[in-house]
Amino acid sequence: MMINWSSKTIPLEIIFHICKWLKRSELYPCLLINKQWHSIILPLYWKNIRISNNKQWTNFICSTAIGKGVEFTRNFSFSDIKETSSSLNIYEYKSLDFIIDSRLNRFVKLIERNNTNLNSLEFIGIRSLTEKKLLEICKYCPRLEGLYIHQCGINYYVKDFEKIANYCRNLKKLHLGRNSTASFISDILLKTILLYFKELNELTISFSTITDASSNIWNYTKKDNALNQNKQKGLTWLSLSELGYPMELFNLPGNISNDLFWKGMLQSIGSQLMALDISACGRFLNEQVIYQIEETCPNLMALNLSANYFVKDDVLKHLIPKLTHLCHLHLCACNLLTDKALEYIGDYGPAELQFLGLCMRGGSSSKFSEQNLYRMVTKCPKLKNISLGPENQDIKDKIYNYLKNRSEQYLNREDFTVVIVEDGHHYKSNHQNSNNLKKDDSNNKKNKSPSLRSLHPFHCFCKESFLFHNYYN
Amino acid sequence: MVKLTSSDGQEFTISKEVAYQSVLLKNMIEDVLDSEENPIPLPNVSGPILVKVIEYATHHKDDPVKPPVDGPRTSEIVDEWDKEFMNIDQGSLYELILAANYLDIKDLLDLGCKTVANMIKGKKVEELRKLFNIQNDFTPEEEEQIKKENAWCEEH
Repeated sequence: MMINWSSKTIPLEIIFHICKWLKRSELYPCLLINKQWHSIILPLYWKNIRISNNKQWTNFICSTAIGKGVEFTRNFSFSDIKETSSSLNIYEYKSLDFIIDSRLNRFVKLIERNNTNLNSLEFIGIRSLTEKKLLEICKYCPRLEGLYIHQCGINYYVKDFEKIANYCRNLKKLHLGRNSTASFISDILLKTILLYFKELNELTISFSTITDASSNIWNYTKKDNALNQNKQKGLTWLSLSELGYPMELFNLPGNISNDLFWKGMLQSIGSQLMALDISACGRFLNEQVIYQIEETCPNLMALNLSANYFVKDDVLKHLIPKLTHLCHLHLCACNLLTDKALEYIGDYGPAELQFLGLCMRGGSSSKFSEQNLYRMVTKCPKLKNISLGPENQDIKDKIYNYLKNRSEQYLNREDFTVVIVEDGHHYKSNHQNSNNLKKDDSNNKKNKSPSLRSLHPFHCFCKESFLFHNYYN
Repeated sequence: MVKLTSSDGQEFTISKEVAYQSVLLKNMIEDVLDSEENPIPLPNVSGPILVKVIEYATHHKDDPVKPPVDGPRTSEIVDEWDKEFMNIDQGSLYELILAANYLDIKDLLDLGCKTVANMIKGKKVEELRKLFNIQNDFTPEEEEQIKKENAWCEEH
């Protein structure tokens, strides 16, 4: 029996229920079926948009399409990071800038015209995005909840952030990576952010020079604090990647009372933190801070210790049994770790651990023994995603197959990826590319997949956190 | 026990446990005291379809409550029984989806819609119109305009 699916009797919501199971590319033909389907599918089709530097990009913004995009889009991601090159080519960026600049203006005009419902905006590598343009954009996005800015031409001014806080009163996630080279986050700017963005749950302040030891500033984001009238969640996700690095880079003066800084921060908000990123903090971080984290952050689920030289085997031995909820642990480029660390992790067998970053920089051979590596993997019952460096292909295959077999037994295969990262590519964007990895196992294993990118730690952790948040919120 | 009457007058007796899979029936049973005596009329559901619905609800009555789905949604149907259950002609599939929607049985609605979504995958517009027996009501100009506005695929 043939049924006329477009007849008046089919409730519109049924078409919607069917199409919500389709991916964007699968939705495209449905747009053209007839007027009824078109009207239902259009908002679905434009719901999540990611613009990046690929072939289609050139045709995109010039078309009227972005008008539709602005009307329906909830999550907007603007990124032009090169897939293949790890270092940025200035000339290419300049020429790209020229093109993007006119597009960015068009984008600003469009959101000006259409009162937008955007709640998430991501700009990565858009040099022509200045603080002035950002203000214009924020002005017309009153519902914005997430703002991600990395490698853009923004200079940080306290006044601008006061204005943004006023335009976007519901902002919950603010992620500031490395932007305009001479611009970094100072004590006063941090204070402004914490004071003005009252709903903030997630904060990334990469590349900052914060030394303020007064725990007072963290109280603004403390859960159920007297200062915090509305009883919101408070800050639960904090990234302080590359803390203090600009001071060393530019020989800035500054009294580094960092032990007091960490103590103040951890004692104020440690107990509410679920995710903490303290990667690449150099000499602004030491073993003592880790011991404080153990004591003050019992609820941590994600911890990024990447690229810190003080992270040694003994530190891990101490840390892992204390943080019982930990499911993401990043130890990439902690080059002082040895085989012993694997033994400790294996002995303890952290019950909740799902992601482990173990990709070490430098050297052509692994410092980890295959035996210990494999043993450790088998002792972590929930592990499903591990990143490795220059280890042998054989052991990578062995781990991959082991995890794959285990996942088939009791995990939902859909959310399972084993990622093996080649030396030099320390960070990957799991959020965007996990589909590729899943689809093509052989590609994944040979490391030829273009999906592996070399990214700033900020981006790595930021993207991981998307996954993390999908899981636990 | 609960009694139901389909649109074509057939009467069915099912356990409360099975009936409670449907939010609509659950609400009706809780509101009306003597549903054991007076059958609940279901004017929107035919006998053969109600048989299917009861088969589904009986099979899944002991399922634990599922947690919300993590991560991206997938239209893949994992359960073998479900797959076999959905091996029906298009007309019944259509009616089954409508019944699941009317009776408010979320899992059955999802299952039916996933089945249709899987039929959509990989097909061109013309094939889809044929599949669903839908007339194209766009003028060629309108069609061209839609293609122009939306012809942009994200990277996969």
